[in-house]
Amino acid sequence: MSFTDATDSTNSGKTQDSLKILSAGERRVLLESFIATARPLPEATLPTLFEGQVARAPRAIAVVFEEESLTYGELNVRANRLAHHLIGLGVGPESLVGIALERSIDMVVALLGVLKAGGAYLPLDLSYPEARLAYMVADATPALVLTSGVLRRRLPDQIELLELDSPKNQAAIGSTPAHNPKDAERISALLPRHPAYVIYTSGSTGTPKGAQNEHRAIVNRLTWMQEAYELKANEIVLQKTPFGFDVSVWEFFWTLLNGATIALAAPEGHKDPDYLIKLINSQQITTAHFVPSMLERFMATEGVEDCGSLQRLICSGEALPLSSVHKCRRLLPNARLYNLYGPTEAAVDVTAWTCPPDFDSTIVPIGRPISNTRIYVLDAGLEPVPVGVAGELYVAGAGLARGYLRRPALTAERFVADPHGLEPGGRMYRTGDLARWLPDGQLEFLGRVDQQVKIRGFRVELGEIEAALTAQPSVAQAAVIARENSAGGKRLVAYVVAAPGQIPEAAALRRRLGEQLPDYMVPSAFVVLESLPLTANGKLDRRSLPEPVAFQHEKGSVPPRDALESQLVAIFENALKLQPIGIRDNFFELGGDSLTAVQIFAEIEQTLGKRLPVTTLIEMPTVETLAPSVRQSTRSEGCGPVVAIQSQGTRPPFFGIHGRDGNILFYRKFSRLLGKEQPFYALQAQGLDGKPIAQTSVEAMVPYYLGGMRKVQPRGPYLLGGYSFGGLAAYEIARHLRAAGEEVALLALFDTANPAKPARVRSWDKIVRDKIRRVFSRGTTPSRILQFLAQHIGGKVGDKLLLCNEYIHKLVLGQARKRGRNRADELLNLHVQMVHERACLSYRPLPYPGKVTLFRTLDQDSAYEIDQDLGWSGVAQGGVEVHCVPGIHATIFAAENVPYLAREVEECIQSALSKSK
Amino acid sequence: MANPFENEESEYVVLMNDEGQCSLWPSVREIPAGWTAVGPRGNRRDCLNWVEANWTDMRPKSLAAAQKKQASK
Repeated sequence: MSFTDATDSTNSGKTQDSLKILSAGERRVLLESFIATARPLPEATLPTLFEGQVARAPRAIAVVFEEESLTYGELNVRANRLAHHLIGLGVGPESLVGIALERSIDMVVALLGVLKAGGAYLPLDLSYPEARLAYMVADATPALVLTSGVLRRRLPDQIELLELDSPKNQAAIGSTPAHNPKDAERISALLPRHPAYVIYTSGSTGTPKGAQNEHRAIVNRLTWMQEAYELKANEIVLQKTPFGFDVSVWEFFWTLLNGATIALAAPEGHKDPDYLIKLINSQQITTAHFVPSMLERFMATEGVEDCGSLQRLICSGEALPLSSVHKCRRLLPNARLYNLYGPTEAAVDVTAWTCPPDFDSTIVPIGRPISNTRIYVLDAGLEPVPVGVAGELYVAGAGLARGYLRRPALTAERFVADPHGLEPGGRMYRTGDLARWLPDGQLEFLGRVDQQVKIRGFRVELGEIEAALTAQPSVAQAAVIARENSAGGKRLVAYVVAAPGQIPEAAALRRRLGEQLPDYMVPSAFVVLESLPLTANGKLDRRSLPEPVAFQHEKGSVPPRDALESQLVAIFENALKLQPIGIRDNFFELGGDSLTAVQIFAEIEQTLGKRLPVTTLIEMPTVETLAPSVRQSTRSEGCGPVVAIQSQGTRPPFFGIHGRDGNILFYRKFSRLLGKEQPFYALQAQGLDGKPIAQTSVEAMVPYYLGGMRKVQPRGPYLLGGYSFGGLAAYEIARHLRAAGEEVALLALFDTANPAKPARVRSWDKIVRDKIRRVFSRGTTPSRILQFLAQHIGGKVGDKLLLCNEYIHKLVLGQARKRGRNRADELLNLHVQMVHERACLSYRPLPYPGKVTLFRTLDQDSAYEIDQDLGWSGVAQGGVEVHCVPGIHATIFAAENVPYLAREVEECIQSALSKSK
Repeated sequence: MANPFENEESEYVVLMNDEGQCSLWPSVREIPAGWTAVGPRGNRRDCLNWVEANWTDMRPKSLAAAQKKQASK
């Protein structure tokens, strides 16, 4: 199956006339009859609609959680008291209140309390990593955060908290009035265009941003849902979706606006199919939502066919596989199956499909637009593509979010003027999703636009391969991704989960796919997994799919040819815990990382008496290529600072300078993300080969790096950057380049603070604790170490820091020895790290006549006071451009964060180069 | 994939509607009804920088008006 690629057939800027392809009649179908969804728009807010329902049936049960339950009347009173308390604290329309609670009745009270006060709620899911929570709080700056005494510890410091369960606050909230807050009592009147919630979304790339959704939009969505699905007051709706995922919004409020009962799943219960089956049976739940990945697990669980109370199974969040539809119909024939679609940037869902009783199609559509919603499938000229042709899906209408919270530019590029709207001045949201119209006016979802990859020049839709895989009887679930190999080319890797009682075989799958798909779409590796990794929201987590270890072995490994090669193979196998390894197998594709690399080189040194820089592996990642260097290396011959990570590409190269420990391996992934057009050279520290470092100040190190750089690129414009300590080196190099009359197009500092900034040291204890936490995973307690330090160390802070470092390294080595492991790398790094530490402390940057582009984390544990530009604006005469990126100082290049960083840097490079031309 | 809003080489303008909302817009395309070009005409980044600096209150204008009406009641 392949679609005419209308989106690719135009060059940007030139208007493509799909108009001429589409007849007037076809155009009318696409822009009128398929999307004729106009209905009276209810002008109301969530609190007024809820309060109306309370008045109609106050004694009905609103919410059940384990042994507890509340009637509508009771819930309303508790929410009212909280709302009055919040109003007293200044919460009102346009204010944002964070909620950091686990799923519980208190959570429901908190949601309603915030909305009744007039505020919008910001869900803070405590299962998110700390860094992500810290980022969200720093970005959204809620007026306050509702939490509990136990949970507050998981939140970042320095935010305004309200502990709902403290005796003092309970007393205060309990003494406020019980009646529904009136507009006159609120800070200002609550109107339908005021925000109701802000939910963060990251998409596939880019920093997370908060989509701000208004009452009018969510009320429209809920009104549609009631018209379409007719929830009755005696029904029970399962609430299991984490509240940081917008599906939860209807689980809560569709139920509460219509007099039915919410059954809350236990905080971690949504991941446990056995628990869910029990809960559905014990509570006689009629409606449940599943993300398709989770639905698959649920359907594979014993006892699912006994969930006879289920009348509705609602799916959204991912493409719903055909096999899941058949399974639902077989196992739960009495439940109606619905497939919904919508981005977080609209109020939950914008299209819906109901599985018909006589379903026999091979396509599972996402359905038609819901009330007051227009969907366009457009080409690159923003014109509708014909029925059956793939294009980008745009959403317009009442459901659109106001935009991204405090991100006007991002809002203006995603929520754009609607050229096909009914009313002038409307906006449409471009989803980044691919879809096509089916002849009957339903839409089919075809994956993400950015999930399209080019393999050997062919445009490939990963979703299409996944669909072909799940159609195989041996496969229950499948995910396909394109991984880049060391040569920079892409290859497809398929991850499959076996159907019950089946064992998928790579050879068979390859053959079957080869019969259906062009050869460039057949994955080159198949990995069988127990289950696919899921994100907190239950969606497939592509980033966590493991590197395929099986790769090389399929090709048959080449055995070692001499004694040295077999020694090296043994070292590789030992470090990678993998057998057999052939001499042409690539270290990185076998799953090697910087730690294993260090281990391998320590082992080479010990058993072969040869010392090589760890970075040799980047250029020589196989035993075959490495062996000659080991053979030649009598001693390390000082290979200079430059390591070519990516030498191809047409742009000026980017020079990345090592971090504090001198290592540059972490740039590998980063470089790959910058793409094939961007050459990347890393500059490694002196001393990694064990030789003493001659230059011990930042200024004195410059000629060493500059010499290496100029060999690669004799003249500007230069692109350079450095991480941590490397940022100081980069700054100093840039100063020298400018003084020599060269152009520096980009000077990027990755989480580097100006060491001359006076108030830089936050607190001595904090630094030590931080260091200890990073060096140890467990073992000696920090308090013991602090005690020791207090007794043994005097002198200045700087000296303390150094001594502390030394002490910690001794401890690490001691521990390593106890564990019987050779960690020569720790010794080697100690020297390098000490020199950099010392150089950093004594460096006083002089003015630089250009701009500093700073990529900083919101590292709360950093040794530096949080200061927007980390102290650079004083010396950077061209200004400081600050980009906040996820992670903490130590994890800015970690796999989960580096895509964000790379994207930001990529944009800066593009902009820098366009200016320099 | 070529999306008309993602091209670093193209020329863009910034549009504004009656709600005071801004939209990036490819300058070669006809401006949709109800929108007016404001701010710079230039590359993508310049246009977005302008939006970042000038669209400081993201509340729709009709809301501000409705609020005023409510307050004066």
